[in-house]
Amino acid sequence: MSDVVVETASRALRPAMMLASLLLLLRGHDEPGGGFIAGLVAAAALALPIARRPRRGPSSTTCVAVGLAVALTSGLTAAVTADPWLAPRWVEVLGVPIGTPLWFDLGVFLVVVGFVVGALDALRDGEEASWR
Amino acid sequence: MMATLALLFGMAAVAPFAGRLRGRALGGGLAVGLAAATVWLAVRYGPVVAAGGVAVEAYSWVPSLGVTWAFRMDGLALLFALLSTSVGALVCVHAGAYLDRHPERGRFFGTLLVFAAAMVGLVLADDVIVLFVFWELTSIVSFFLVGFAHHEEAPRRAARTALLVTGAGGLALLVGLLLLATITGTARLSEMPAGASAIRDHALYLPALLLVAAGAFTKSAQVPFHAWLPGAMAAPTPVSAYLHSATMVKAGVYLLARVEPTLGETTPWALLLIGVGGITMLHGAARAVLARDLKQVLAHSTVAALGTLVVLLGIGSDASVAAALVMICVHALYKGALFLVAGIVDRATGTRDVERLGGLGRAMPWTFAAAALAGLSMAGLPPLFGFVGKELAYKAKLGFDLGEPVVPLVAVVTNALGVAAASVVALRPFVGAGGVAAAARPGAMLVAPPFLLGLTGLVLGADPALLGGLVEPAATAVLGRPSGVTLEPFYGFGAAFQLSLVTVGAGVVAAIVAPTVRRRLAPTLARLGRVGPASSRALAAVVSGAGRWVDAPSRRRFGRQVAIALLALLALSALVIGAEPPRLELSGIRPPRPEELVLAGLAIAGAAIAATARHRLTAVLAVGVVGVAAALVFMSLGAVDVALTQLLVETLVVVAMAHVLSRMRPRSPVDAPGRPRALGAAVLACGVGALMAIATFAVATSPGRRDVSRWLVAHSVPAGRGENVVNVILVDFRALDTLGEIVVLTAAALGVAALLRTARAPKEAT
Repeated sequence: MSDVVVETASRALRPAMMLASLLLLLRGHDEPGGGFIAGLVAAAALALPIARRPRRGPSSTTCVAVGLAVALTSGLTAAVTADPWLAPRWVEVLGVPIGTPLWFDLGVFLVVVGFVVGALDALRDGEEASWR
Repeated sequence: MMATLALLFGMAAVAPFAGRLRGRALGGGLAVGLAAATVWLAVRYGPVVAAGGVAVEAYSWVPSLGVTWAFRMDGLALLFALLSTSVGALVCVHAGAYLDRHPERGRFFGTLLVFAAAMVGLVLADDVIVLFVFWELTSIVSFFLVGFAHHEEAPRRAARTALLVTGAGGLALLVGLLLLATITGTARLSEMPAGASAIRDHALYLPALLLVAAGAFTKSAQVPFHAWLPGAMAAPTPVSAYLHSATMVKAGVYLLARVEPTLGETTPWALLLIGVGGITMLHGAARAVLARDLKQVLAHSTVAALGTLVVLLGIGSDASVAAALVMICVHALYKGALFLVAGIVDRATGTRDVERLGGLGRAMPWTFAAAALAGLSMAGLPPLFGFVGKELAYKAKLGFDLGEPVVPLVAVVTNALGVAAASVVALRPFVGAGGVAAAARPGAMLVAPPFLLGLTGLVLGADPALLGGLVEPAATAVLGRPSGVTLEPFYGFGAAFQLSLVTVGAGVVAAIVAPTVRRRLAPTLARLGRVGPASSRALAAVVSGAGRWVDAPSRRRFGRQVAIALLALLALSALVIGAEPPRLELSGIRPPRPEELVLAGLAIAGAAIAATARHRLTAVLAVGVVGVAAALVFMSLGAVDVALTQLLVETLVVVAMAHVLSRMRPRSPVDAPGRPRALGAAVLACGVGALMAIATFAVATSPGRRDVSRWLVAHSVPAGRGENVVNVILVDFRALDTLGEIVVLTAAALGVAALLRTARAPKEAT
């Protein structure tokens, strides 16, 4: 398979996979999905071999750190009400239940994406990698 | 109390973002915050404590273990808390000017404030676990502060050594504290003295004492754990002035004072503390006089001072406890000032070598004044506060009949050497002539803090009763009764005064003789310095040796390491299974379905190909087949989430391997192992496989497990608000475990980033 075919297919696949990853993240609580799975799909999407421009935006380390911070803060709302840390809090927004477990799942998602993308970048670029 | 902690942590969180402010502004602003905290603590809790009361703030934390998030303000806590915040404020002012345009000043101040918060939290903690958390926090933050100039090797090494020593002590402390909690039945430090008599006769008294003492001795740099303190002088001078004179090294002394009502007043306590403290006093004092670097002199004399404090707490009488508390304040004042002065001198002249310094008094009069005040206090001369402290200490040691005449003699020798050290540090750089010239006059923000500290020593020396309202409640907290010691500027011409005269006389002689002795002993000292901190060197050797063995990128060694790990696993499991054979429920097994047989065959075939493949690419793809087969098995059993995750991970692993293989020759043959090795590997593999099968089977059929899964499924919707049990378990019921997993991922990410940076570094150098 020539590079052109792979490249064109990847360009088409990437947005679709990112959308799928988002859907998996949001529906994880009631149907198969969730933070880990969505993170792996998103990482796979970002690992598709598209001609690389220098990747702008936050580095992988930032992504991981932000994810960890998000996951940690998801427990704080419970601390305010003197419940054990990470106790879930739910609110109803327009009939849709939103809660701290979803915020936690987002944190997991970011950590997984950051880590896998960073690791794959490092493996691909070897000594020229800059862990972006 | 928690409000104060919140303020300090809040300032620490904000400081790094204000890094673009000039250092003076940043330091000044934070100093205002710390000063406000000091005033707040003094005003809010001073009267309460002076009247003999306490303030407690406690919240339930882990009720099942009896652990509370408890803080308690009594005299002892207030003394240390005020010391930490007030000295911290002055250090911030000085550091602001010291790091005026330093590019990383935001990070510096953030870390410094975290340390201040941790120190205050440590002294306020009433629960042993809370105490331990803040204790370790101070160790960790000190690592970052000592290693602040992380581009250089010496600070990094010093930070590592300090962390290793204080961390190991911290572990010992944890065990000791838990022992105490178990013996007394309570985790609250304030409730422990109630059962003191029972504790002292308990079988575990000695282990608990030794462990807690180990924690205190490592933190307070007692022999033989003292070597990290001179090394930590690689830290920026403001850090040394704050941590290594006023706060962190005093934490061990604080701990000993805190547990004295519980563990103290026994012969082992006295022997241990007086013995270790006494040796430390002499060793520190001797090294101080013989050192050439200003900061080394101060470091070693700090070690000696800490030894004195430990001895006084070991004696444990009313007089000695009061003396110790006064000496804590005295030492913080003069040592902090002297460290800051050393920093100013270093800045101005570019050297800290006492042999090359001299005659700076004219160029830096205010600095000289500050140094003189602090030096006189250090030498214990009236009318400074140091004199009051020394008198009290002598009186306490003379009153300790069991120690005569050794203890007072050791004290006299130590203090005489201290006088000499004071002259080296506070006098020599400023008088005389012919030293390195000062480049410029240091600014007001640099000089004002040490001058204020020195001046406070003078004021308190003239009227020590000013501090009575602070020292007396602290002594009461330790002794359980008023100490009956009054603070006066002069105690008359008794035995203590005579000892002071002898001390000063001997000290002057020592000061005159010291340079000659130093020069004579220089080669011996240099040799000692290399052997020097033998314990930390041994530790470093062990760590780097182990690292070299694990990291060695050798195919053969990697295989050997894996084999050793698996053998150990098998051996341990054999022991465990042999001791308590698991009951395997064979009744519920049903015959396999056809699709399960197909998938099992697929997996086995894949594994066999991977093990015997002669080309790398084949092996990689075969492993991928095994993974996919596993995913399909999960799918057939109805575990959709697990199957999805397995498939995705397998895909990404293949992608990763493809990247790696693309940089090698993918068709390169795998070295075929010899017959005996292949046979050994096969036996090992079969053994581990059998072990895994037994373990999985035992766990899957255990009766308790079915109850757990039934509970989880039943509560998934009502409590977890989700129909996907697996996800609900991951992010709700067992969220803490998931949090642990992503912390591990974060650590791995940082590790890979660091490895890449070091791999790149040699190339950048060329």
